[in-house]
Amino acid sequence: MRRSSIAVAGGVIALVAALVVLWPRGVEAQPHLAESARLRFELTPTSTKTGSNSFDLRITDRSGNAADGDVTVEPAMPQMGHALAPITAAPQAPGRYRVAGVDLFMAGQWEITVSLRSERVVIPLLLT
Amino acid sequence: MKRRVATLLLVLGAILGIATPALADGAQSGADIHVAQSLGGRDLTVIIRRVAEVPGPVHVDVVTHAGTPAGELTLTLRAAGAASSTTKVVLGATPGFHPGQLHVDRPGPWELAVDEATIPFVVPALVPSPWENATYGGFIAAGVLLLAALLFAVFGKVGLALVPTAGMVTAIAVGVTAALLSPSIPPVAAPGTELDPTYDNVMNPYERTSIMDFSRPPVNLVPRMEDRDLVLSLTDGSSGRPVDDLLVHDNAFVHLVVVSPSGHLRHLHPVRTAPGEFRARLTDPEQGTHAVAAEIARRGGGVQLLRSSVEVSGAAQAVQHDGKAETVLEIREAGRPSTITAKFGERDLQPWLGMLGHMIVVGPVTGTAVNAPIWAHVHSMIPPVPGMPDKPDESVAAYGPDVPFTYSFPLPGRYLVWIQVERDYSVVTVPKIVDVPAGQVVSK
Repeated sequence: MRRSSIAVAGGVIALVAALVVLWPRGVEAQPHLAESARLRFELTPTSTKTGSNSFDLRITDRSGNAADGDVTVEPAMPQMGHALAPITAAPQAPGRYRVAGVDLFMAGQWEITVSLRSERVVIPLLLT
Repeated sequence: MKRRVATLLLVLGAILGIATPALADGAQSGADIHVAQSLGGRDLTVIIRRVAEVPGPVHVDVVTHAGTPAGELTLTLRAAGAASSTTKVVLGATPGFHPGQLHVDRPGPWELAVDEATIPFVVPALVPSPWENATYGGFIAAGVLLLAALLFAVFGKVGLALVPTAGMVTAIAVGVTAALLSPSIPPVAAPGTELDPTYDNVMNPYERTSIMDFSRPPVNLVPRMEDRDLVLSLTDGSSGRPVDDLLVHDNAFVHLVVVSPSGHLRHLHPVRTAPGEFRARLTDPEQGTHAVAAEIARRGGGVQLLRSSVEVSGAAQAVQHDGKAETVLEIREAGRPSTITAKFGERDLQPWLGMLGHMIVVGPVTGTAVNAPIWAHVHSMIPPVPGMPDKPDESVAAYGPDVPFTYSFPLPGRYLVWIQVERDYSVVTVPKIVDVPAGQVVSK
């Protein structure tokens, strides 16, 4: 009786320890913030893995009002010296844009340049 | 039996209490950042002191040199483009240190603006390493498990006490292993040196990436004159995008050497005014084609030398360098190491750009410096002080008097050589002409 309870307690401790160590922890896609002279850009990628990705963009002026205009996204990979063709973002709502089907095919450091009129910001994005 | 186990555990506890856990070295302390800036007509060194705590103050020293006009500078700190604190530094007429204090509210990538010049830098976070966590975690767990084992033993459950005892042994093994192995684990690269710095990777520098080679493509340099300023445009050699990832190496983003048609040398440190754009003022330039060479280091490592030339319209007469030093030349044939020692008499030289002395070598000259095949920048180093990771700044005037350089001139011929040191907050430039004999002809 006593021995079996010890075995059960040991088994439970081992199981909890294994779960704590082996529980999958995904890298959560965080919003990236950058500001230019007049505008504030917030980019949220759908994923931080390689492959087809999409970005949600929120663009406001410095006082928080939604910005409007044509938004272009230029992905580039500085380590490889590789740049993709610029993509025009689709407006969703005032100040909100979406870029779908961006093929970021390689793991590593990417730089996403977002521009609206003459305002440009570069947002670093690390893909695993 | 019960008593024996209890005694054993007490003895074990006493031993554990005596043994202190080895401290794993994981904290990133950072270092002072020295950046030379040729800002308008001023030659400044901006020193961003190590940030001790976040949020907290950032101490910035602006070092002026002989001939720097007095005036006022505006320093502004920005994170992600948003200004957070600003201050004014009044530069006196006498060269020296002029302190200013700013404030950071979080670690991560920051930008210090000095008037129109911007200096990107990283405020590192104090993050314990995983092996440090394993060491402390192991010993703390061992302590808790020891307490549990003692409690079981006291209440007569000797069999149950064996479970936490076994756990304690495991925890001690984990802690001791981590503490013993941690000194041999290489430290992670400072944030911002390999990957673009972001708030996330500054807060978690131990995150693994699959990248092995961090180096980036070569850079194209296009110089042009804009009024009195020499403007450098740097673009990526593979994508054509502006290069905005220069690291501070040898205390500057760009080491720009400009040689006039008459052989007058300028060693400038252009300021960053836009992504991929650096500018430096050429005061009283000569008319004609100037040879331009820029040394840069991109994020990911590796220093590049970019050579070009620029047409300058000026009216000034050729100026001679007035630096004087006795030089001892030991010139060997091309390809063999030659030694040039400049003797400055007094032991009062200051470090300039983290070095005791600099020697610029251009040659062999047949026409002008523009088409010289060899362009070199030789250093004379400051002997490191044991236990002092930070290099001494310019306030230490105690080096010299002899400044030795060793360089193997690759080709025979006539070279233009300039030796530069700092004394009394003034850069002394000693010009020299060196003739290198050809090596012995090998019979075919």
